[in-house]
This record gives sequence, C-alpha cells and structure tokens, in this order.
Amino acid sequence: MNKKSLIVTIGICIGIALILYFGTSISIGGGIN
Amino acid sequence: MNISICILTALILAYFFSDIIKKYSLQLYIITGTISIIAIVHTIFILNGYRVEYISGLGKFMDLIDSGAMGGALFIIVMYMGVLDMKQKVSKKLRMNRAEISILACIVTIPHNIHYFFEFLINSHNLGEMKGLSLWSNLMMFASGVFAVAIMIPLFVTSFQYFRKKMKGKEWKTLQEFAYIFYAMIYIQVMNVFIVRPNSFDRNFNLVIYSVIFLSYTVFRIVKLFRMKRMRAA
Repeated sequence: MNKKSLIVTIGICIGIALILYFGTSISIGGGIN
Repeated sequence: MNISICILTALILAYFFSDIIKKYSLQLYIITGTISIIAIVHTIFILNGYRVEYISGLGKFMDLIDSGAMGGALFIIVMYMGVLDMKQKVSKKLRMNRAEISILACIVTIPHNIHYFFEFLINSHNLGEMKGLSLWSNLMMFASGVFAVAIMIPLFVTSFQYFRKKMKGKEWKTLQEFAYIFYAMIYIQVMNVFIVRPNSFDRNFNLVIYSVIFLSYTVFRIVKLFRMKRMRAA
C-alpha cells in the first residue's frame, strides 16, 4: 500500500468513525434483559 | 427480508466492483475493520445495560451488521461461488474475489459473534425457566454459533495470502473443506433463531428463504461432486 492510498484509507476510516460518533446516541437504560 | 437485500446488494457490488475489490482489498479490510471495531464498542455498551440508538439509515446499516445478516449474506455468496459454472463470465468475475469476500465476511461477522455469545452467557440464568422448543433452540443456537466461530477463525486466517503461502496446497485444501461444516452450522443457527419467533410473514419468509438457499446449495454441491468424479473416472 503506497503513502497516498494509506492516507485516503485513514481519511475514510476517520470519516466513518465521525459519522458513527455523531450519528449515535448512547444513554443509560436498555440493553439486555 | 434483510438477508435478501444484503445478498442482492453484495452481489451487485461484488460483480460491478470486482476489479476495485481485488486492487484495494487491504484498504477494504481496514475500512470494514474500523466499522466492526465501532460495532464491537457499541455491543460492549449494550451488554453493560446502555441503550445505543442511531440516526435513521445508520440504524438499519448497523442492525444488518449486529444481526449477522450482512456477514451471512457475504458467506452465502462465497458458498455459492464454489458451485458456480466457471465458464460463465459472471461466475469468473465473482469468483476472482472469493478469498477477499470471505475475509470481509469474517470481519463483519465478529461484532455479531461477540454480541450474541456474551448476551447468551449473561442471560444464561434464564435457561432454567425455559422449556421444550424454546430451551432446545436456545442451546442449539449457542452450540452451533460457537462451533461455527471455532471453524471460522482458522478459515479466516488462512484466507490471507500470507498464511496461505505458508501452507502446503493439500493442507490448505483440507482445511478449507471444513467450510462445509461451517455452512451447516450457519443453517442450523439461523433455523433456530427464526423457528422460536411468533408466527409472522417475516419469520416464515426467512425460514423459507434460508432453507431454499442452503438446501439448493447442498444439491448443487452434490451434483458437482458426482460430475467431477465422473470426469476423473473418464
């Protein structure tokens, strides 16, 4: 994997992580029975 | 219904982006791994009594990972690649990425495995209150799941070119034959998941679709085996 490709991959991963971070709400109460 | 959507989407992507999947397989593993790690973190929150909610669209996507539908769909595609007629252009295009798709399937299935393995252990005290079909289906679900994961891990590791090159061809082929037991375990698990659910269109549809997929695969595989034996004998 070349440098440019690695940077793009890391960028996509950060983008996904941000979408999942801001698109998720975690609160107490719920979960398993 | 989820499984049909996943299979169709994965098939379209695997066919039209076969060259991209081949070229950027490592990048795809990293991106899929990132999503899986986040899904595992969310699973840890859920197992610790937190409620994890997503914005619309994202919720459906994460549910497909958590329910195992996405991983299952990819495994079904990998499974059918073994019985495809290699003379067809479609088969050739799909089969060129068999190892890559099976690695992606394993990565995307790990959050599902972790979630339901620990949920079963945490809820195991409820087993004493269960009777009949409910008890047996829960036990079968767990046992087939654990067995499937135990087979999946070595298959996952040896799907990488690096480890594959370190093995003798015959050794690798023998190990890969365990995939048939793995597929059988997936079928047993899925049947047990849906058979205990209340009668509904979704439950019946899933029971029928999974049975059609796995039983027709078995027929295709047996037919291929006999055809190969006949060719060798000729």
